[in-house]
Amino acid sequence: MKTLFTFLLMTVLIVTGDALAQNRIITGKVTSKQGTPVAGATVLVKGTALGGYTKTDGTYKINNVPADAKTLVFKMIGMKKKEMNIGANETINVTLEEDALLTDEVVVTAIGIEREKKGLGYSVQSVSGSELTQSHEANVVNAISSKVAGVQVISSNGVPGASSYIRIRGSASLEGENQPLFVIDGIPIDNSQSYSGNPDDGRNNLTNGVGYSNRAIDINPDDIASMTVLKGPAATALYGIRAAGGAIIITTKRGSATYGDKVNVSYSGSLSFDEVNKLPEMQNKYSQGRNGTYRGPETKDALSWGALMDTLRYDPTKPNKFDKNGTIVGISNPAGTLPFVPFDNSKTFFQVGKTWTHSLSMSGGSDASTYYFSLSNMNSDGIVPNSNFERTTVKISGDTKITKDLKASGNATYIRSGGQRVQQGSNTSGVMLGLVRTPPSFDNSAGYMFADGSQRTYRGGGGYDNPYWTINKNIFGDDVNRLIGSAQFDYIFADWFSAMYRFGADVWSDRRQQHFAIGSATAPTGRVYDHQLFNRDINSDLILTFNKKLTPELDGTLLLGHNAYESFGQSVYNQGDGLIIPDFYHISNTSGQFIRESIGKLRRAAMYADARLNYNDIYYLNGTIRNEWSTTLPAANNSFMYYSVSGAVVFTDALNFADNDIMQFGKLRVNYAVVGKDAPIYATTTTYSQGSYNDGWTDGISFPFNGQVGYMMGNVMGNSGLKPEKTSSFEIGADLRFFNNLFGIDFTYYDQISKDQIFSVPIAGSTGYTNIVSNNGEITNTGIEVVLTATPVNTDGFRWDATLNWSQNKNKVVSLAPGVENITLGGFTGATARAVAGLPYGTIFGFGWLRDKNGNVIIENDPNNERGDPVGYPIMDPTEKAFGSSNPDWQMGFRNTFSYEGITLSALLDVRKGGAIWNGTRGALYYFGTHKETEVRGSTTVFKGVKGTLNDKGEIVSNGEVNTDQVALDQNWLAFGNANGFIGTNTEDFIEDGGWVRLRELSLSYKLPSSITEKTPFSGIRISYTGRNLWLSTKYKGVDPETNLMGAYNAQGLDYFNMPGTRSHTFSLNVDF
Amino acid sequence: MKKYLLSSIAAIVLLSSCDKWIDTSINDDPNNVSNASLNVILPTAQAGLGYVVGGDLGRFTGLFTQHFYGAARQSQGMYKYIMTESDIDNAWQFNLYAGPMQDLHDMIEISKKNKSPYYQGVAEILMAYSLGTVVDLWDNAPYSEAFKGDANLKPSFDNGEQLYAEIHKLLDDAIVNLGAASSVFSPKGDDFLYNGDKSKWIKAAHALKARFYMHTRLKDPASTAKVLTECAAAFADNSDDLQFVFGATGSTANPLYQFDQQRNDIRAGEKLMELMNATNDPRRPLYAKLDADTLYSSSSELGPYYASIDSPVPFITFAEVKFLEAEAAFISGDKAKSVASYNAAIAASMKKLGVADANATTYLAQQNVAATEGDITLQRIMEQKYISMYTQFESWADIRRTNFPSLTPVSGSQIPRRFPYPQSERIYNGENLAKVNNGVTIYSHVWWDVH
Repeated sequence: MKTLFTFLLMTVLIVTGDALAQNRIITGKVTSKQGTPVAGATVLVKGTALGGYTKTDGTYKINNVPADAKTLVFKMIGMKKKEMNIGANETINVTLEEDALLTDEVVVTAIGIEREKKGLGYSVQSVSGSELTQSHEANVVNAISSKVAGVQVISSNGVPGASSYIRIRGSASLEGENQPLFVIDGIPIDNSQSYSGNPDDGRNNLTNGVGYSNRAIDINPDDIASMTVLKGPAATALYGIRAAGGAIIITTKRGSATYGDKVNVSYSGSLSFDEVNKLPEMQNKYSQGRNGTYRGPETKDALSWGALMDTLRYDPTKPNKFDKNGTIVGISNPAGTLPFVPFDNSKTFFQVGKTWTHSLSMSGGSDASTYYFSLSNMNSDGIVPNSNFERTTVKISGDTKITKDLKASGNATYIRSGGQRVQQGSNTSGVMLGLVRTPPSFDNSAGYMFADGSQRTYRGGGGYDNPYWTINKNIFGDDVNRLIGSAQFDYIFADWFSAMYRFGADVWSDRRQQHFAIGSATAPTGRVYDHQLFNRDINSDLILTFNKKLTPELDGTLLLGHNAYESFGQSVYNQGDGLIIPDFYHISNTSGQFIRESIGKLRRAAMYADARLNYNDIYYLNGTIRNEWSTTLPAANNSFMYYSVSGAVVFTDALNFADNDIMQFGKLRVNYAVVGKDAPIYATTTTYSQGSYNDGWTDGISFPFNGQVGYMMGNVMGNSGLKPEKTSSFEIGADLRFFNNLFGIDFTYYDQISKDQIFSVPIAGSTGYTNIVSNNGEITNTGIEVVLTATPVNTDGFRWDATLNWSQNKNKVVSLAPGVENITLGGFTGATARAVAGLPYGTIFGFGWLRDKNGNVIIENDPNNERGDPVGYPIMDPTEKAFGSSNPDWQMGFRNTFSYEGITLSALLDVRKGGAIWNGTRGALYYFGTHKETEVRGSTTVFKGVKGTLNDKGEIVSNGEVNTDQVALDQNWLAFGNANGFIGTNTEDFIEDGGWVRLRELSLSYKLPSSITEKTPFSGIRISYTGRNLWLSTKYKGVDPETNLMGAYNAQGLDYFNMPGTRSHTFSLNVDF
Repeated sequence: MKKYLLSSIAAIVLLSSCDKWIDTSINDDPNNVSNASLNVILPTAQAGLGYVVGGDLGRFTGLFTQHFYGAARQSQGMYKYIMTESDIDNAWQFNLYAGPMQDLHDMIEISKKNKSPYYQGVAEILMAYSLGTVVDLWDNAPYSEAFKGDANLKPSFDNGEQLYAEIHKLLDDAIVNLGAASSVFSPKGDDFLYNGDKSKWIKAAHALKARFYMHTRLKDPASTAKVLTECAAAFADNSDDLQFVFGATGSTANPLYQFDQQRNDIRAGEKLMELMNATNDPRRPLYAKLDADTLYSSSSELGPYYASIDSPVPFITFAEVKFLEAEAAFISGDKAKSVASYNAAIAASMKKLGVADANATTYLAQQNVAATEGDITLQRIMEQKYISMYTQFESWADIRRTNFPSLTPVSGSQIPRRFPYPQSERIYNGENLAKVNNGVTIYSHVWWDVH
């Protein structure tokens, strides 16, 4: 490698020795076919960075054009590119033709290379900045939702700052990252979701605690000019390891030459109102208690299996500390003079959230230099009182031509984000947990604290927190400071040879502070913790580009690149327990502390080549090869190579379809790619770690312990023989356009195999370890993506555009490790998301009903069965079963846009077919007796199935006789029996279809006509309304099924007291000066 | 101009010097240590055992023996004998085999190499205690092929009876090692249990031998005499108790306290309260709190002695040794010794809990407590033992052996007699497990359980 760079260095020295040539000035005007001036077109001296833009009257002027310059290139979005010979001319006027087929559409591909979409041998899809901002989503990941075929976005919930999970073409890595790489202006940025809480609890912290953000939330959507989604390994081949899950390439807005004093100033502001769109259905008939008897908060009873509420009255003469109306008595008690009214705790609790956003940008420049400056603020108050999220961003970018051959550009973005988060999930301080377990006979809102400072809950202070206590007393705040910056130099050595060097860094710190008041369920003695996270990613790219016309028809491009990458992360966690002075939250006020620190660092380096051939803009061939080095692999295996080949043919041009009435453009593409992936850090050795024990019930214990330091052998065995993971992919596709682009179809089929997965293979505890890291396993993803575009109407002034994105991905875990059939990705003992050989990744496992060979449920008929199961009720199968995966069968986004004059109406329909979700909330609420479905109590049923039993040997004994036993649906069955999904093991009844049809976006905008704006200081004014999730149709019985307990994490499809989703109304204003 | 270019190019060359950039030492884990010494492994193994014994094991078995009442949520299920293979997986995997047991196994190897018999003896005693616990709860279990990591990913299950022989061998070996003339390294403050006191460790070895011999007395009548011999060499008073005392901070808190604070789903057990109420037991306020009706009942929350932040978790106590002696003497027909040991056992329990001597004396004098050579029964010994062994899983073994105290099954017709094998062994070591798990339910008997 060293040798190559010595060579490069020498080349640079030789070439820069050239003297600058003599100069001249070229001017001209660019017009359309109709003769109207074309403003904003790019004019470039071919082979140099020299050039500029046309003004509003279509004219341009380029100074310092070298004497030897031969060609001028004219480019404009929506127009066909044109090249003109300069010759001796000093004035060059051109007419650009409209590009109805958009065949000259340029997209940004891997490592920031702009390429004509026409020549790509793989599928990419772009989303414009305006399409993203129109969604008014705080999190840019959500804004991509249903706009790109093959991309699945799952927002974890509707709380401000909540994370969103994104995956392209399914999951290919068992335990590694399955989300795409995010790249902004060539710099890979971090989109991780870091969790807090005692680090010894590991990923269990994702099932409780608060909802965290994924770091792409730091991006200001208003800064985005366009986004390209690179879907497959062929498209991301030049990124290597980090883009194994695809890549989201974001190009931010930059300044353009404005000449004179003019500055383009643009402001956009919006106000959104968010409200809960769906909640689990609750019963409001039965009071707290059990066996049909009211048992109030004094009894600490957790359940709502008490008396019918219309049999209860208040006795106002007997004051009660839990209820301001008095003591609850039976209807026959003459002192019960006040009627008893049930409380709707959920309705009372949530509020309308409000989000304000303001974004101001200024841009402009001259021929030589341009700048873009933006400032934005988003401030969101959530549906949960006291929750909020705020993001402020400042961005500056500039480009300058230092000489005719050298261009320098830079970007710097500072972001501050964070807010106050909501306790959620399986968390005794969780808002939803405390809220929906509350009996309708108890009013949470009537105070959360007694005069003595103790907590007022329906369980007399025990169990879990009153949600009002949590939002007022158990506060989690995060504060992120982030800087993303880069500097780039482009140097043109000759019209056939240029070089680019770019250095960038993404650095953030995240300070999180949590406190639990004394008396909180999570930490009864009080707790504070301070979690400081720091992350630094640096990236260096050197790219040499050689471009030559090999023959008049054949154009060749060769790109040689070098990449170096380093990622460093640090986490310092200080926890103090046992507060002495109430409500003073500082580590000095805690009687015991513990500290955890962890550091992670890795480096990678790569060299790559990318060769492209273009024959007459008809036949394209592209090959890449990349060698990568990574510190996370053992020295013997840390260098590895992979490659891609892709080709495209524009058959309409090859076969001269130009004048065909039906099809004007048709392209076929095909590619094959192999991509590698390294290991997680520190996976090659087995070490002793700081002593700590946990059993899943309690917080556990940890060292130092009573002054002693303690270590224990790690549970995971390292592996010094690891080699890289490998994914190979085949993709074929077609892009066809009909009737002058009135209708278009883009079709892609892919087949992807991921092998030698590096994962921590579970092993029997009796080996002394619980896991061993190894290369094993295979996952396949095959799928189809269809993008249909149509413009059914395009008459004077009125235009109707329709886009449909449809995709289907079939995922299968082919094998894991020898003898390992199944690994757990996350979840609970009740329901876990797993990778199991032969089944799709993320299949949900749990317990279900015992069935005979014909699928009939076995209904108990042995009164003496050892299990103590009641006769006449179904039997639970003691063996775990698979209950479908959270992966949807297919998904679709269908957008229709109507525009007339300045009015645009756009609707985005989103369909997700299938995809299982475990509704653990409903399962638990059976036990608690607060779910609507528990109102069946007191009725009887005959369970469908056949009579039989399960004997001591685990065999089904049944003669197939159909069950006719009429049995009671009572507390013993619904709450304490196998019907419930909480203290029992029933998973089956709580697996639900998570599919939906929703109106994801409906927006109406109006751009004021120029006749009005002319009279104002503004050059453009647009007002708009966007409705999000205005309509949702789903069979799911819980909150909005677009939800996930563990957030942006591989284990999806779990709902256990998840926070609800939202519907929102946004009003916005855009003004250009 | 040229300068900028040169410097940026130079920077790249520097960066891309591959050997330096891809330095393999970057992957040396800075957070963990590759070699740990005996004095940092021992305290972790001890605390780990304290946590699992006083946590999952004590609580789950306590729900079966009615030391505890399952008032809500999953504990309510377990009280009704709903226990699945995943419920006990954490205890087996993380908190026994890949936890303290693996570290004790390592310690035995390291101390052999380091010529440190004192550490070896301590590790052997704790390993014997752990292994004995595993056999008593799960019967056949991996040992001879266990703890070998990738050298044996599928350890076979050893027969429970043979493991008992192994346990006695470990304890005998430990007694020899602790009596060695010298040891290169010796446990001191890192030994939470006895602060390096070798004589106490030797007594603990004898106490454990007495317990394990007692388990087998119905299989092998010769065991009864061995119990008496071992008891004589075991603890002399409460200060000898082998127990893990938790700390006063959140991260060192007693597991039962943590469960009570964080889950609050269990209450004092029905049977326990019934027996204690019948005798106005002065230990009641230490075991349970008064309920809403100011009674001690299965609505009573846990009392302070075993459910405070810094409560001890007993592994084996002087009181237990005296009860073992009382039972063995009773079986051997030495009623005088049985009565003496019975009285001493109750007195030890009272003293341990800090009950005033006068109250203890009054208690002992009651008709349904006091025993004489003429009227002492196995039932009385075992019921008193059951009371004094509150929170300890050993009571489950006692009930399985003697049927005292007699429990009314909460569901079905019998109480569980063993734990199901954990899910992780079924999935990842299935072939070996299948050889010992055929037809096994929680009502199957462990090898020494002949009832």
